[in-house]
Amino acid sequence: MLEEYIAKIEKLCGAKNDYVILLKYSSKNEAIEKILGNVDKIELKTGVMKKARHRGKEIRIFTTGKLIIKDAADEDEVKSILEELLS
Amino acid sequence: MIDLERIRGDFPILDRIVNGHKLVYFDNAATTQKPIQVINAIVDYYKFHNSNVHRGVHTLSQEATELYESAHEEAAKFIGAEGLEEIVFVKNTTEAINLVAYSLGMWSLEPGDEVVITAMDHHSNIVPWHLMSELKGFKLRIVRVKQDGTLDLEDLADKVSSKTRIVAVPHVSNVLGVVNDVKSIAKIAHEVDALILVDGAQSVPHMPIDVRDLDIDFLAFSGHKMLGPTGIGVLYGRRDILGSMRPFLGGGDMISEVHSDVETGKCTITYNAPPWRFEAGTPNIAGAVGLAEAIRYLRNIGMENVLLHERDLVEYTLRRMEELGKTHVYGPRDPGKRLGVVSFNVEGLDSHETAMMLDSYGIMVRSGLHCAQPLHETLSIQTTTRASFYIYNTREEVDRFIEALKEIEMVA
Repeated sequence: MLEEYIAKIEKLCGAKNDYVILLKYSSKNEAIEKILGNVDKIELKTGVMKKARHRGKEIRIFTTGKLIIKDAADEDEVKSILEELLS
Repeated sequence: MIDLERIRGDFPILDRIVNGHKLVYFDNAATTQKPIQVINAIVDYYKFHNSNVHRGVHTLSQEATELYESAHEEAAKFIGAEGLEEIVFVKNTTEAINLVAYSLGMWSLEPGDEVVITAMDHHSNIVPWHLMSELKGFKLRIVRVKQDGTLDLEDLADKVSSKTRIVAVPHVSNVLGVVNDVKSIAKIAHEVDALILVDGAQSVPHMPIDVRDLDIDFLAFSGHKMLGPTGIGVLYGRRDILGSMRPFLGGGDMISEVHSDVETGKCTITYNAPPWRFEAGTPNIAGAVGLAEAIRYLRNIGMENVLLHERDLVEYTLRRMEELGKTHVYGPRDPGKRLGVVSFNVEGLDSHETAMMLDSYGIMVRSGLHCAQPLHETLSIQTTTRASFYIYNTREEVDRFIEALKEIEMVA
């Protein structure tokens, strides 16, 4: 499922456990809709960014099709969170 | 004054709409956009002159050789070097510094020697010296940066000694835009007979440079940060020093003669003269052609004008940023002490969040450590968001940037 929505997962420069996720352009709107529907809590909604929380992790969702998942143990945890959010 | 409208018309990419907004490109310290003249020069080279350089007797090879060698001449004139023999084409600034670190380090440095670098350096002026010090056993001395982001010249003077063989410093910080007084640093280095290498990645594209006036021994810079293509950079080396150095990479074109003995397995090799001694293998000819065109473009504008324009943008940006309540700017406030780089953080957001939000407004900036982790550690900052300017940027774009930051501050 991740292949359908995710173009790239990268650790953020200078941030030990934060990851940036680039959504595939063609399916980004569908992916964002699913993510917003599945997160535990949406804390803030603005025109360009949504702040959410899932499994205790802070998540930033940008309308441009990028996500940040903060303080993840490793890339496997990021993938596991994304699997849940995109299901 | 520069004709901004005419200049902007030369950059096709500036017409792009990104994320629903007209592109504002403020990531020039990472790489610059390319004017149509540079793009056309590269296309023209491949369409009409493409061939390998040197030792070809046919017409196309001679044309390619002439273009390639004249690009060296253009680069030499641009920085006040004596001629093409002082200009080595490399991949980028990083490769230029590695060339010096490996060539001098491998053959001239030994335990007991010292190389002086700074806490302001880009990783490209730290890691090559670290690698070589591990291999050869010489010591690295690292000059402190003051809390205002300027280099501690007293500490530098303390750390340069009779043991110092090389002083390697950035001309301009890629994080803070701080301009270092390399002329004075060169004097300090030469007083103990040390050589000075200047990382000019962030200075050569933005201000007039005269290597003879600065009295420096090496200058490294990249083509892609000054309107040229990626994959081409320059190492300036003083003629007598390059002439005494051994090659960094071996291969074709960097030799005069190669003899091998099949009985003994011995090779007898005579190296070519600089700069070719340091340009092994087929070089980036199209890149050199593009760089030469970029240099002509900048020279037509005039580097004094480039500097004035950027200083105006920085001064204007710093002044307008004072309107922001939650945004902290790093480095000296005096625009006379810095070039077109402004690093900052917005309270409540990390640098990447800020950069991604600016991206939503069509404003391209960079976030993270900018390959300068020691400087961030010195200033006790985790990461920064960096806006960096060039000749095609405008005050109107700065206004858009400020307005976007005001909106971003509201959600921080």
